[in-house]
Amino acid sequence: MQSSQLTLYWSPLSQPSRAVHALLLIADIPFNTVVIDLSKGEQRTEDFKKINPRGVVPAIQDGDFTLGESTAILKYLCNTQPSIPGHYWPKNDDKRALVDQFLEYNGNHFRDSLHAPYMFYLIQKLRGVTFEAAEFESAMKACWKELDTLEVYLGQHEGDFIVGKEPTIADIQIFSDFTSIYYNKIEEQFAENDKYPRIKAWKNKMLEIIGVKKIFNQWHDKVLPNINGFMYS
Amino acid sequence: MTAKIYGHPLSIPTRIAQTVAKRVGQEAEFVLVDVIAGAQFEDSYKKLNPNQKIPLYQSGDFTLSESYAIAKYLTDRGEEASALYPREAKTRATIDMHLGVFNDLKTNALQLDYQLVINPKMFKVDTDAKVVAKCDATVKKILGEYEAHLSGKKYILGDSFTILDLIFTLQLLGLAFVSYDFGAEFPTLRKYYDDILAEQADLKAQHDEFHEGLKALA
Repeated sequence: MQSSQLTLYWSPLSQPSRAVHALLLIADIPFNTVVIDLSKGEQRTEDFKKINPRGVVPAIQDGDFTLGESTAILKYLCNTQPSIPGHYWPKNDDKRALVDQFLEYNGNHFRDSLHAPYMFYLIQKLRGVTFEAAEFESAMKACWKELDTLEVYLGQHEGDFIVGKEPTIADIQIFSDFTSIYYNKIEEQFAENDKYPRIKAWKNKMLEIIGVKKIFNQWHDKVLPNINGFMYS
Repeated sequence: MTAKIYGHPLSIPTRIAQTVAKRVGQEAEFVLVDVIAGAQFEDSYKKLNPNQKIPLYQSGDFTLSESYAIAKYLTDRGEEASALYPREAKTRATIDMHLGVFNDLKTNALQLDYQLVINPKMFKVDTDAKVVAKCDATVKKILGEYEAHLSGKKYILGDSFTILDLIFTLQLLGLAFVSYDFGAEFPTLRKYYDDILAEQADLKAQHDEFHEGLKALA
């Protein structure tokens, strides 16, 4: 029996899934969650492919309508859920375009650079393939370079968030991928480095948003130790 | 003040921004950024775009990077807007979803451009076979998905030409940079591409210009 509530298909391992989940908490609407266990290949089942033929998370079902791709979902939720404050996906053309730019930047550049280093460890563990130190170093360098770029971007507009004074769905996406620094085990190095005052201030502001904080804490306390334990053992 | 698009004629993302701009009556002056010579890394360009990528759209103090963001912004501002990128929530969300997939196609195809052509030809840097294998696999996976999706369909959303077809066609065009004949493996995509070019004059012009530019590169 199909629920009239929106359903989120997600995995806490997936950064874009966590971003969508955070926004749903911000929306403060009733919704169902279905965890897709990626380690068991549940994303490849026929049942899930009915929801998202591409077999990836996150995906949502809203009545008869199904949708994949986190950025599309975030925008769709902002367009259809009046309880989400308007600043998350501004109506003003120019502001909206900037949020879109940062969503694209996150998807095309930031995400890949932030998760490349730990992927070496993950693949090494999953496939028993030893990686070359030089390749890992190069990926780590690219990760820090992207943090440098984010630091510059956060200084471009007045306000604590990426396009201004209020958080947007770009902040939510970028924050979720930013937390890959914990997978890369560089969070202490990052904290001690004085090159990133804006990112640090932004991180604190993001964690003041209850939905973001809840998803971060859940992941940080329950998921991260298991993944790091697995990858780095 | 005229708007500007900073980019390079061999950059498909640049062509996406320019094609949309022209189509929706939001034309901008083209400013060459010689990415082959590394001009995107100069301080003057970095000030405009901290990400050091092309294209970049500028209108007065407003700057916008990322070709798909530029395309959507200009479409929402311009003429012929609603047909290309309808505002109805579910249609727009479906378009955004496909664009999310095309992003993967775009970034992996671009890596192949660097690995197979730009690095060896211009920088005398060796190709990294592992990177090529990974990117090639992703590109082909996505092409395979749309080969299936477009079966029996004229356009990606079915009956109407949207920004998806404009962007996807230009992404397919871009595969010529690495001399990859997608039609050989994906006949539905070949037919889709040829039909779109026969119907959309601006995309045909993009095809011709890009291929001319490739000849000069050889």
